[in-house]
Amino acid sequence: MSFDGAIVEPTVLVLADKSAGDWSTVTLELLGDAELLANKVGWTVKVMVFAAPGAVRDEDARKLAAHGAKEVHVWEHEKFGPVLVPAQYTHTLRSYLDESMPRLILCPSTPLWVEGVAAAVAPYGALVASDCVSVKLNVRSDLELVRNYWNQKTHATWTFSGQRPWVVCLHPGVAGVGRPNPALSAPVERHQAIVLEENVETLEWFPPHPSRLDLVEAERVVAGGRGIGGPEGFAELTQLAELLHAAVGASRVAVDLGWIPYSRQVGQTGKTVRPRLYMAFGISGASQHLDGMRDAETVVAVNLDKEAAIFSVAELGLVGDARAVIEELVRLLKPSERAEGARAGAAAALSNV
Amino acid sequence: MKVLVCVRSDLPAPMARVDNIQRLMEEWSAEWAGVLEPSCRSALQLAKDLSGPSGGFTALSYGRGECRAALEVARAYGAVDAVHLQSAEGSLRHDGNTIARALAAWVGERSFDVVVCGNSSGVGPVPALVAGHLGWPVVTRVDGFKKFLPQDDSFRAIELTQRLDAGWKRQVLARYPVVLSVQSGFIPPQYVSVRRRKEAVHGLASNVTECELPVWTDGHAPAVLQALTPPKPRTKRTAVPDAKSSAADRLKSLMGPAATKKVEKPKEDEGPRVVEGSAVELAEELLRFLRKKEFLSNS
Ligand SMILES: Cc1cc2nc3c(=O)[nH]c(=O)nc-3n(C[C@H](O)[C@H](O)[C@H](O)COP(=O)(O)OP(=O)(O)OC[C@H]3O[C@@H](n4cnc5c(N)ncnc54)[C@H](O)[C@@H]3O)c2cc1C
Repeated sequence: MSFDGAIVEPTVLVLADKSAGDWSTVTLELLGDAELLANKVGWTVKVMVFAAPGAVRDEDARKLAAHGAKEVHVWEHEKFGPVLVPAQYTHTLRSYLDESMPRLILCPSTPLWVEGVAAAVAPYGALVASDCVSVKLNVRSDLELVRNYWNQKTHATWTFSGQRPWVVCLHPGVAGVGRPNPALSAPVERHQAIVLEENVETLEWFPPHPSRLDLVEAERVVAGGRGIGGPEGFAELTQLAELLHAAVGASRVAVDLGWIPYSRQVGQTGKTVRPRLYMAFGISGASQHLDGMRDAETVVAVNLDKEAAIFSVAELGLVGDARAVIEELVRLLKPSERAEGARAGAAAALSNV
Repeated sequence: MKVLVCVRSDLPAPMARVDNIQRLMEEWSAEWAGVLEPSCRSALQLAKDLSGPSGGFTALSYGRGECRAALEVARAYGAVDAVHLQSAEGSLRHDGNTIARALAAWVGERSFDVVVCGNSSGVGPVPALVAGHLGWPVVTRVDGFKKFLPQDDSFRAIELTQRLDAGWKRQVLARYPVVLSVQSGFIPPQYVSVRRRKEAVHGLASNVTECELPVWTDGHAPAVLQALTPPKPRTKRTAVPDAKSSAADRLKSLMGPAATKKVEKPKEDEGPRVVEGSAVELAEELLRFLRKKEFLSNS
């Protein structure tokens, strides 16, 4: 299966993620980048999806077309469920590459996608770059990519040239999703995938729980401080976290009072988080707490004190009783939006990390 | 069971700045006293757990003098062999593709059952690339080691827990040979005493196997590092024109998918939007906000 200068096709293959219900944001971001590159040099944008039978409907595929896909290949198997397990698609990906080697593969830079793709393409001698923030073709048609480097302390610009296939894993949330063009369409081909997991067998699944969701990797964090009043407040916060598919965080005071374990502390002496959404309930916003969450993309805070420092970093500040707002949110989300919220959250979390 | 653990050194956190990283990549000097990269500490702990109280494991590092720090800690954790891989052209420091090739070539000539790697961000491709080159399975994000299965020659395997996405986990049965990777903090490392560390420093001088790899080439151009720069946010595409942007920007945004806008933090003087009201009103306001930001669907 090694790649010995075999013909590489003028295509960009985007690996699309729909494991959590809808297309993950990063999938649409990848398509935006793929379209720009393809338009520049006349490549074709193809999309490959691994999904349970029936999980990708024609209207789902149309959404990909509206974002730039020219062909959609859906590989179906009962095992492709809501949880992404890379080893399950390695065989299918390799079979596809044996038939048709794209010039460039774009995939989400999340641990499990990187694992699956890197393991699949290594035997072809592909060049792989993960944690990329941008990708373009330079004047010599070499691939120029910028990636996070050294714990995100620097950006490194690399070039890939030569004839072997290139793989770029794009960091979710950096490229943004462009405006779709609903007039576009793309043919959809459905294939039966073969899953070979000879050497790693799943014995048992453990479903997610907000208190186990890793704070550092979570795309959404709901955090509580002294203002949520006690362990019962955290029990309600955990319910809210479950509905939003968020991880639970806390201020040091809440940890010191024994309301929640230290592993949940955010801040200078706790964890540093960079979620897309950070919701602070009853947290004053001391500088040591802000140190751990100031890089969150969107901050929402609920506090009784209009002058609380947390409001200075919040995009939306709500002046009110934290427990009462949490209770209301749980009530409003539970009946109608529970599934929706969890699905959207799962999608976001899957495209994160 | 023969266990290999791959470890690498890092710059101490306060020194990890672009200028220092740039200098370190250009030339190594003794002034760069590295520290063990944190996920490698978890990798060492896993290697130690896997090899058991009586067994030892081999630690390997690559690059230049800075890898000494990693090998010292590995010795303190109980590595019986320390291997330093380097390549004539020095490319083993930068590019994960070349590193993976070199590691796989070296491992392929030996008979390890398990190769353990640290993976700080979780998105480093090296462990999976190594596995792919070797034709071995890989289990990334190992969260715990449960037990060995009864050993016989036809079926040799271990039970591990693996973290998947969105908080899911699974328990797996992985057959040897296998590549495993761990992120920092997930296999809690035991404390290594200062005495053991000192002994390791003394013992290391005479006990590192130096391996010089031939310049590797497969006839294709390698990845080339062009520049290191301070991180700069990328210009982000948007689907809808921002009401706050200028008419020209809005028009540009409406004109096509390639239209872009700069991501801007809210201006200091604009401040946050602070809303007062009853709990119901506040909760509804919050849900409207989450929908607008696409954290919840609009339906
Ligand atoms: C060296 C050092 C390291 C530290 N490290 C950390 C760290 O890692 N993380 C961290 O968080 N802190 C850390 N701290 C502590 C930090 O300085 C603050 O004391 C702490 O963050 C405050 O927690 P809090 O906001 O929950 O409590 P408080 O400061 O007591 O604030 C409680 C807030 O809740 C509001 N409130 C009260 N009742 C309600 C209600 N019913 N509804 C809504 N709001 C209400 C109040 O208006 C107030 O703003 C550190 C301190 C030091 C000195």
